[in-house]
Amino acid sequence: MTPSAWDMTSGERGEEDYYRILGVEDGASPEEIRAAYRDLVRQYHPDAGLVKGTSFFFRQIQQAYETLSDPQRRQEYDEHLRREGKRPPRLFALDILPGPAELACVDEPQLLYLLITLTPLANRPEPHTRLNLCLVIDRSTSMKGERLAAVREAILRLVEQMQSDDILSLVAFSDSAEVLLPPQHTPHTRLLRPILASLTADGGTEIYQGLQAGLSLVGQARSDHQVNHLLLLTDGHTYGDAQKCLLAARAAARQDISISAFGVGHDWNEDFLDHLTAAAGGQVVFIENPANIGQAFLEHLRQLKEAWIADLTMRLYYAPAAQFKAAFALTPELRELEEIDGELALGALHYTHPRHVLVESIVNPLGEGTHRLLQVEAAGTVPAYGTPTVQRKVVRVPFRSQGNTRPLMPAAIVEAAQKVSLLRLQRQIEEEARQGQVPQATTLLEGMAARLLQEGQDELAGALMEEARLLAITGRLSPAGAKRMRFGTRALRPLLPGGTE
Amino acid sequence: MPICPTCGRPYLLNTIFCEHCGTALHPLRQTEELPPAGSCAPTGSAPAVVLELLSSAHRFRLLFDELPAVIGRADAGQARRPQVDLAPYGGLERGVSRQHARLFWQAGHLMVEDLASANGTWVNDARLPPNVPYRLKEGDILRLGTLRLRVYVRTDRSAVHQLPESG
Repeated sequence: MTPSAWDMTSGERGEEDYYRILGVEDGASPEEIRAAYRDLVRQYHPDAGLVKGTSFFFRQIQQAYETLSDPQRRQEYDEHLRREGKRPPRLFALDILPGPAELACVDEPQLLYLLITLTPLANRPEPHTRLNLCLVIDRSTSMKGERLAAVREAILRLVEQMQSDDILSLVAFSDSAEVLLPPQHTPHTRLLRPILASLTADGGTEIYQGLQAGLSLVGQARSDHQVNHLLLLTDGHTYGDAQKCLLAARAAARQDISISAFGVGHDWNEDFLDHLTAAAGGQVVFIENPANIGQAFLEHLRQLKEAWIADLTMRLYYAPAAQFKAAFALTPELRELEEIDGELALGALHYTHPRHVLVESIVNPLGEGTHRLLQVEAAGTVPAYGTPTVQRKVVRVPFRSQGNTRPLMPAAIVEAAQKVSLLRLQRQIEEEARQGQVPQATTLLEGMAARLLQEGQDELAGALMEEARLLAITGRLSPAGAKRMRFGTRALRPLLPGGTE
Repeated sequence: MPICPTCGRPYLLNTIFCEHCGTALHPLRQTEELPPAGSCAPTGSAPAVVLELLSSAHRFRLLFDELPAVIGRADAGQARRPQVDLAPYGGLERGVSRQHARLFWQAGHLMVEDLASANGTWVNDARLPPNVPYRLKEGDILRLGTLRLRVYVRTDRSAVHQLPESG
């Protein structure tokens, strides 16, 4: 397949597309097509006179429905789309499960959950994903000794696992940054050893210096045919340049460069690194013991190489009756997704595992019938082909006059909401502790520990109980305990169909 | 807007857990019957055993009545599948072995035997020695690795669907 055959945009602009007109997916069932048609007719029928100038659109709706509701004609139309190169093969699937399945006609706003599943559709072996990786290493005084030694060893082991057409660059920073290795195809360890030997510890931690130098190196070697990634390793707080770092991360995200961070030990700022990586679709890895740096590097490399779709983002287009409340990634990490420029950055979709997102929306009162509440759009790039890919789906939910039964909540949504509730508890604990509300924070800590025990998460529960004890004495969360709690919560995984890692 | 019974804060209709204090607001009873991991609904005359998955807000009921049965986790590269497969319920993450434990009848009692599993079989928080049968009682908590199940035995078939609501 040539890249031109994958070009979605030419088919989208101007020319009518029956599926788009009805707002259904290519693979929509006859029922979905009929429901979408009825929905549109109600809104756009010229006799309804609701909206002026709709008769042209109404004719298009008719045409689209006549074609797509007839199996023979639909098949011919699909054939036509493929011949014209307007239908790229689907590279991933977008599935949406609403909960409750039906909403009640009530006169107050209500919550609608959506469990969104993104499943890779890739036949391995695909051409392997190439990497453009820059390692940005903190060489401040606190890295001296065991930590820097572990980093040197970890980089050598990492390079042994990289493929010859991957690109590596290296930056070290303290008060200023130094390029140790400009971008180049995986260097031999013989070349790397003397460079790493020159990596010694001295000075303070100014992350912006390192970040800026690293991003410029990734930028130099950047292409759509690679995963372009910066990995920052630090053990300290940055001083005064946090805002500049966040702006740089957002600029990187716009160039499809993702940023992850490894925090070593206990004396780094998890709020700052979380914001930094969230802005650029990456993750934070908490490395309590420097001996684990090597393992963390290899695991991170494996994940980067597993990327089937990179820089996956999601947009939600709401109908007037509904609005966004919050969104949470459930896998591979449990965390809240920040909406930046109207987009939710999800990072990469791997060859092997689906991604799950729980979206909470507020829905205002509506009358009986099936209502179109929002459209979900997920887009990313496929490094193996260097092409963009996108999937869209419309969410329609039936509204019924209140019966005597409780709304049916799918099991998977209850499970996801339970994990999200633990995440909210953890953040509530941080917030209460920050405000010096020790009794409130302690009560929440104990309550969360009890729930974790019930779920068989004995280790994390134990860490929370210990933290509750310390909190009562010191009046604040310990840096180590706060990190164990935050990253332990993030590692909680809901039991979702096909979602186990 | 309804009010959380624990912390008194308002919440939106359909909310499952209170955002502030984590209280379960939506009744967490079974809202859909998942396909049982073992065999199907009871048909024979032997008593039915129901395992209720506790390591989740949702109480999955694994209903099966053909004993003996091995509880474990099906694995792609494995020829022998356990009769009760816990893989779809997080078996791997929770440390369930491929062949973890065996359930069988002995002199009218339901017995469990740990099959030398990696992470152990526990009954009411006591770890069972490997390969030694242990008698289970109604309501016992069976733990495989960190996955917890409550055990019910029902001789009257009609009662299978009338288990107590646990919260």
